Amino acid sequence: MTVAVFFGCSFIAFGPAFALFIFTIARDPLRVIILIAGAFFWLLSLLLSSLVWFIAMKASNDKDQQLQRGLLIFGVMFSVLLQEVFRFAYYKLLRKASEGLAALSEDERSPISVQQMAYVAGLGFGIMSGAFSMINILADSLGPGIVGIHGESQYYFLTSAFMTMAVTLLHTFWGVVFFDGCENRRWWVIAVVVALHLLVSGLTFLNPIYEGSLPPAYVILVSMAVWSFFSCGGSLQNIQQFLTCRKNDAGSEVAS
Amino acid sequence: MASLFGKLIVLLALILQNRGDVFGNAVEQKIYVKLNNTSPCVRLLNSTHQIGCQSSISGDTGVIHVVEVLSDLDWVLMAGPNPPYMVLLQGELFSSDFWFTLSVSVRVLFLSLSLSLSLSLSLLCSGVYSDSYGPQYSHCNRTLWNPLGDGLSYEDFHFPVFMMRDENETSVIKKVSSVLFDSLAVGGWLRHASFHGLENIDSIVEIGQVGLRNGSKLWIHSDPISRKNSSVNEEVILSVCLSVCKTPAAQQSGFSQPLPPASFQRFLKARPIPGVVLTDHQLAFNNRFYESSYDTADNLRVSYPSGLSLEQQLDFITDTARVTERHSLTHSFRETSLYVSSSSSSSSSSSLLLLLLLLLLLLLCCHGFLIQSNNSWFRSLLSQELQSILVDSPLSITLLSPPVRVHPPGPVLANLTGTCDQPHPGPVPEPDKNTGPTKRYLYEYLWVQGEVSENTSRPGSYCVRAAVRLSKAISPAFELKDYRSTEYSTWTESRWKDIRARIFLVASKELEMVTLAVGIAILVVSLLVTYFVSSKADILFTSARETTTAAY
Repeated sequence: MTVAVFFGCSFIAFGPAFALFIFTIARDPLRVIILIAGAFFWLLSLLLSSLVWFIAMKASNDKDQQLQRGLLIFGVMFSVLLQEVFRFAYYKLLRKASEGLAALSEDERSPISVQQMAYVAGLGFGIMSGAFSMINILADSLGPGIVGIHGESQYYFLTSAFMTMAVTLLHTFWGVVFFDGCENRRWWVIAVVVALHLLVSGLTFLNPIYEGSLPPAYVILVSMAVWSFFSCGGSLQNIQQFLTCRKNDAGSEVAS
Repeated sequence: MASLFGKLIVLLALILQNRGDVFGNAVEQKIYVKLNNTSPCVRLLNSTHQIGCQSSISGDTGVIHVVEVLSDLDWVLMAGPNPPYMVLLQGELFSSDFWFTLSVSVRVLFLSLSLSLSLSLSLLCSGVYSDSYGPQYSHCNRTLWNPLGDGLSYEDFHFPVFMMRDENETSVIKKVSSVLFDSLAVGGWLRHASFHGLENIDSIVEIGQVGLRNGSKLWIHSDPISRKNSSVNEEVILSVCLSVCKTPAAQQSGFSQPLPPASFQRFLKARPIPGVVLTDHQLAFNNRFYESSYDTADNLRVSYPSGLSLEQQLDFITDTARVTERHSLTHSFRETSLYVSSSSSSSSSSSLLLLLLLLLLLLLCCHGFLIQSNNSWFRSLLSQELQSILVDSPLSITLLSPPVRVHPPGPVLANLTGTCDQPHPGPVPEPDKNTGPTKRYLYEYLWVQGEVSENTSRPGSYCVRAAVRLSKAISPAFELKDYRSTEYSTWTESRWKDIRARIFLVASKELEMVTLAVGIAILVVSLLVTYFVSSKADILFTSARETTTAAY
């Protein structure tokens, strides 16, 4: 019966990422490689930050709840910073790779632009981050019970899925904006990305008051989407054209 | 570089593994409440029947319903919209009256809550009396020994039954009375016990239930059928009764009354041996909790004055142990060692000794077994490596697997009934040569560690010679591989690896469907949007973009 919850939550959490992968990444092997390497870089950052947190936790008093919570907050913040460091490192790596690819190609141009690499790298980060957030919860959602017997919210699975979706897409947009900031030496952009990442992660400590974490995360998501759209060369005219083009296509079909 | 990555990945795996151990899967802890303090009912089988309880192969799940009055049961049986139900029952309601209606109509799991006024599940009408041997006494025609017992422990249930031992857990269940219940089990096998007759028994004195005497009376029962034989009757009166019946507190039960349920009946099945059974009851049991898990110190009204330490309690003679005002024990039981020469002694001293034996047995029964088995006396009887079987709680006489070499009743009885052969540890002596080849191994030799006295660090240990034996509880049917035997017991227990129960909340149908619908909607919308955006990407993103088809 809770197979329904399992599939529902999986689709919510990974639906957009899956769609993006299918239509924009899967057909290009180079993008697939960049995606997977990006995922691996995120994994590395998680490994190192977990190590630090784990050591700190083991070295401290187990019984002190306040201290453990403090250590957890510290662990999360440190992890955010380390993820952004690794994002920068990946940017550097991709720049190097881009030059190499350009040298190999016939027309001295890299087959993939920095913006495309930024998008794919961000998506790689996002997918891996989402997987680690959600897989454990999905496994438990397959069982017969739901969260709530101790008084917690029964929407636990649902809110986790929505948060995962938000974080996955946020990583994608942050990747685009971050790489753009690095390319054009606009360091304040990087600072804003880091700050927003810290903010979204910090807001999750307000859970189970989901009103405190989910709506702000989605507000930030929408604003990041807009920002990354404009940094990719989008504009309002493009949107108009996009919408009117569709109408034109429809008209031409009818005419011919 | 590659090896470094390899090591990092291994480390990652280890850390992730450790994280799991540290939290113990936090999400699972949010969902399930495990019931730890339960006693499950298990499946017992013999060659022809099965009794007890079982669950489905992957466990049973049901909606909890608390039943406090009998009318609640009607709701479960007829009106409840979401069967099957897991019924939480008060102990008082736990009887066979409604049991069969419940077991037929819905699949239920029972939990027993609190102590009932009387809870004895066994109904004893078996034994030596049958259609061929004393038919007037068979099937409890003459005397109903356990009238409060309703024989429920010999019934066959097709659903699982648990007994809750923890009040906290039962209150949790009552609080969340709309939850589901889940249990898992795996099967196995175990063998059960039966007795094997011995050839050279002269007579038998069996001490049955003696703990709840009314007015300090002891009743002496004998078998009327075997006593019809004059030689047996003579033996009973002269040698057995002479020593026992002289005890001031003892009183004979009527001649025409059959033997109460006792091990002696099994011996009588083999041959008519003269013997008696001593009990605290003349007709029905005084113990309301016979063969029940409620047969505890509190229910038997065994109490010590408050303020006594454990060692002081050992010395204290409870009212239960006191036979009469005049015959209470005058010195500490730890200093007494009893000597019983043979079972056919007719001297008057043996009656007093038998009485002392009874008192000591009562004392040790009341403390070591009912209160705490880890006391100084039990510890002095067992060697260091065997003391791990003593616990800071009552010692229950249960089947032990794997069987232990020494079990506290053995050394206790040996110490009470045997002779001290040597005052210091030495080699185990040769079997008694004077008793002839047939009685060569009549006695067992036990080394007793003794107490650790304050003066010396070495315990004052000694050797005890006693006719006390510990035998493996295996039915002859299994040794003879006669699994269809009607002569010997063929009871087996289905050994479960893990019987667990847990409570959890279940999502409403609406929530499940909404979750699934929202998930599908988001997936479809994402696919559509992504398709359209990616197909018109060149319109939307107009800055210097490379071609998307990089086929290099």
